[in-house]
Amino acid sequence: MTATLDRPAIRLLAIEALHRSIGLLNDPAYARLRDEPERVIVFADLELDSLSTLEVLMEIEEAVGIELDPELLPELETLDGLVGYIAANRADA
Amino acid sequence: MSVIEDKQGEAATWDARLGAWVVDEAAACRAFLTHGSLSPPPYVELYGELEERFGLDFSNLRLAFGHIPLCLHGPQHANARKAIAGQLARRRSAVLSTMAERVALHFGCLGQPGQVELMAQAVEPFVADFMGALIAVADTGFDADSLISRIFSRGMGIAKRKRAEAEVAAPRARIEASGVSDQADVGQKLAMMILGRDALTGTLAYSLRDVLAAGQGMPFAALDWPDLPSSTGVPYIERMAHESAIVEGLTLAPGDRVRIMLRAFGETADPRERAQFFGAGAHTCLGRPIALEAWAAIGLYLRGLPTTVGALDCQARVDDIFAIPARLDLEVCP
Ligand code: HEM
Repeated sequence: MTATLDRPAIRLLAIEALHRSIGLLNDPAYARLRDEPERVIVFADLELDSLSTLEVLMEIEEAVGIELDPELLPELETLDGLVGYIAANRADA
Repeated sequence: MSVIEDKQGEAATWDARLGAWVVDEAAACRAFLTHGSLSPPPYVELYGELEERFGLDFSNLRLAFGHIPLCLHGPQHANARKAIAGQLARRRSAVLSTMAERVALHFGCLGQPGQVELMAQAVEPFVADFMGALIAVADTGFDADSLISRIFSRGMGIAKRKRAEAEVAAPRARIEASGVSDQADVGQKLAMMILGRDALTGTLAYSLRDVLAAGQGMPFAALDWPDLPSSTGVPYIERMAHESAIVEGLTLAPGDRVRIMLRAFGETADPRERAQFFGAGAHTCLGRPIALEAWAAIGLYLRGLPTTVGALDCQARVDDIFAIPARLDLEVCP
């Protein structure tokens, strides 16, 4: 399941999940995020409430097949932190 | 690293990462525990929202939540407390009359020289057996490392919550198979397992660690066994302000969270204070008397052993709710 997902694909997946939950790409500040692979996204700036956090992580969990706890986010801090965590912990890592 | 900054007063420190005030001093803990403007956070409501918003099914957990006093308020809380107190009272004499036998069965491994891993060989099987006796179900089907008792965690994602839901199905089926058909009765028994098992495991294990660490090289017969366990398996509990309040000089708005570090009662100089790591106020632990009987029975048995306490090594388990050793290795000497 995860073997086919490289880091850019995981990043894109997370962006889509954020968009479906909180409409991230509708915000002009983030509208071009799909085309900005180097951009640093800090989770604390997104002001995700606890349900949205669970929703975003649930969608990623289902796609990549590993358990993701909301308590990870403050520790991982950024979107790339999360992507790195998933890449390191997925079944084929 | 969590960011802790002292924002207000001395009774509490603000932990930005937890989004909660942290109270870590015994007298202040007592004041926060008993304050009428604070109640346990809305644990159940979150599961309801998850079901509604994401179409998930948490029906096993909901059955248990409906009987967990910590999750209920007002008259529902009073009724749930009364029901669990009734369950405990009905089982008390049966549990006490078999306690010595149960302790001997699981702690007997300390009676011969050798290497013992106390968690897997003694504490966990004892607690499983003891909790089974408490709810009158021989084999509860709860895995020692199941997620069920962590359902109060704020840090758990959906995949883990779904796993916890699936895990409750096994003990629920065992309870029903033991002849209990009344769903309130099933729910109360699940509630007791959820509240009691890990709290008891961690408290017995860490307090045993304390006694054995202090008694290295001594015969078991000479161990100094305190009346109250010395370390708690429930290092903290959480409260939320349901109205504006000033507690110990700290101004709280509705919705503000407070983490009360009960382990402060284990570290205090006066051992009588320790009893308060069973909580205080409306939600004080109902399992305290029977848990203390278990602690005393283990002490009585261990001090009757002919062996000597050797090298001890304790490793903590990673757990954001309970304090439980992953391993507790002891060398038992002749
Ligand atoms: C040594 C082991 C134990 C410790 C340290 C412990 C600790 C606690 C604490 C701190 C609370 C209060 C939670 C809060 O206020 O947020 C509590 C509540 C409770 N405990 Fe225990 N517990 C232990 C064993 C047990 C056992 C064996 C049972 C058996 C069923 C049990 C049943 C309960 C119940 C029913 C409540 C909820 C009371 C309420 O909300 O009104 N506990 N426990």
